[in-house]
Amino acid sequence: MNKEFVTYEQALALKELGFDERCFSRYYESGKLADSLSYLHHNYFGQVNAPLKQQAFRWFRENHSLQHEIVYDMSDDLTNRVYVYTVFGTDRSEEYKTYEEAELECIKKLIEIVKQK
Amino acid sequence: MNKEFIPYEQALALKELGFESPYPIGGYQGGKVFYYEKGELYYDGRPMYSSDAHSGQLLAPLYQQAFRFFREKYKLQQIIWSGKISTVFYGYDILNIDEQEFIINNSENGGGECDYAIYEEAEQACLDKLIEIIKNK
Repeated sequence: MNKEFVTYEQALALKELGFDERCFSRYYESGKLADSLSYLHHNYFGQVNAPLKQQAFRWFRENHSLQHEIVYDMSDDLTNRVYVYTVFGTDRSEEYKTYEEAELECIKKLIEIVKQK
Repeated sequence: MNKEFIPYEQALALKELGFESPYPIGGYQGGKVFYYEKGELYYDGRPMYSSDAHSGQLLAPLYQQAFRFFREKYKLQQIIWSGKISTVFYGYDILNIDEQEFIINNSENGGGECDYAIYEEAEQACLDKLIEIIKNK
């Protein structure tokens, strides 16, 4: 998976929630990321726009006032280095081994919050 | 579109600090590349690697790519946070991952000059600070 973009499932969920911005790429129905220019076109039948992660976070911030933080755990145990995320106003998340994992889980959480509104 | 990319001056600074990989945006065959030429942002429509770059062209990193570069190469992690008194404001902290120590701890220091009205301003200021920290090493 290309690490710049949200996952296919997240792209679908974002579309359902009203995300309608132009994106640098798109997913085919198979869930595969396209490799051709899509920024100049808005929608392709049967395909879904692939937002950058930073684009998704901005969308939640600007459209739903949802702000997140991804922080490095400062535990005394140096062998247990982990990342956690928080969405403003909610509890801290579980622990994740990598920043990217925390980022994707955070997007999942943001989707869940907006769906439950 | 431009708001996805760091400004030209920061892209120049990142190149000096070793941001060399094309980090293409896109799919399995290399993806798409945006670059600066004479300070303007262009899209090439094909993979462009360092060896292909025409003289004067400079790869334009996304914000998330720039922050990943500092995280992975220099072990510096940014945290963009928000607070609210009468209005929402933003700020940043910078953590040295290896040392498990804050290099910049604006959130502890009560804001003031480190507060920004919008997220993007805090993000840019944070990037400037990361560049400054590495340059001064």
